[in-house]
Amino acid sequence: MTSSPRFSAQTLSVLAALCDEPSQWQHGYALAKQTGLKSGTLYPILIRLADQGLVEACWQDEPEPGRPRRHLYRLTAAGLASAAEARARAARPKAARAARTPAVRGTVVGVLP
Amino acid sequence: MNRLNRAAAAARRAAAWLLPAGRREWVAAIWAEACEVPPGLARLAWRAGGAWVIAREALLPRRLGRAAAFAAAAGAAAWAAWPQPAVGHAAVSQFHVIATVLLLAGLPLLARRFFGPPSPSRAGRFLHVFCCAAILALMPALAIVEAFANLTPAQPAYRYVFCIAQGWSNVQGCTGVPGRSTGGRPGRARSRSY
Repeated sequence: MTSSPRFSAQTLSVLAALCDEPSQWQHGYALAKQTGLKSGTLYPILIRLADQGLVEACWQDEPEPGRPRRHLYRLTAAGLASAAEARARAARPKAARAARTPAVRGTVVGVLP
Repeated sequence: MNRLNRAAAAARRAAAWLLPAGRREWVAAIWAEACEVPPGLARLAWRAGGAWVIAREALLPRRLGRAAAFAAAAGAAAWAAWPQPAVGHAAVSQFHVIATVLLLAGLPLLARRFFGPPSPSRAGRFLHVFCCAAILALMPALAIVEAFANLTPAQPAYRYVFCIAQGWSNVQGCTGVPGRSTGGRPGRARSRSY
């Protein structure tokens, strides 16, 4: 049995941003804007994800005139699968809590005079 | 200003050489992306983040240093707490010493595996280091107390403290502490076998 790694909240937000358009290459600055992360947090996450084979990176082919080439990122197939699983896992406790809450509230209301 | 920019660019290039080859293109990516960030504080913050990434990646070997420091401290504590043949059953058993060191080394790895990465807060790191140091210090301290004050048979509370420190919840198992034999230091044990 293989288990996917657990991700921090910041890593999950990066994965979620990359999941929005998985086939599109995205820039670091766009990801930073989407996730609200600073470059000092975002890039170590991207580096780690790339090391794990979850994100692929490449350099822009045709840079805009007068601008340096930009580095582009997107999820690999393994990254997509991991992101989907991590998001499902993150959503599961919330769903369980939501299902439990009315019953608990009902009990309390029933006990109170 | 131009000169300042050139000096900053030269410093960035020099700093990038502190990194392993596989990481340099990431730093280049951060600097290239800085051109897309609006000028002013936002761009400065972006570049500061780049400097942070360089520092972080360049200082990665520090983690190896921390692991080596833990191994040295654990080795020293285990050596100090290793049962002496002269002090009889009052010495801390070899099993306790080995189990404590293994627990300290393995629990963070297990916790990371099952509960995810630890909180990056300074308080969390401090708590981790403090607890490890306290438990390592407890091993020789208890050995000294037991050896010189001979408190173990009379006051089993010391044993409970030690068991709790090792994360043992089964107090019943601690009362009949196994392996109270006095094996002596590893070197002596080897020399005896000849």
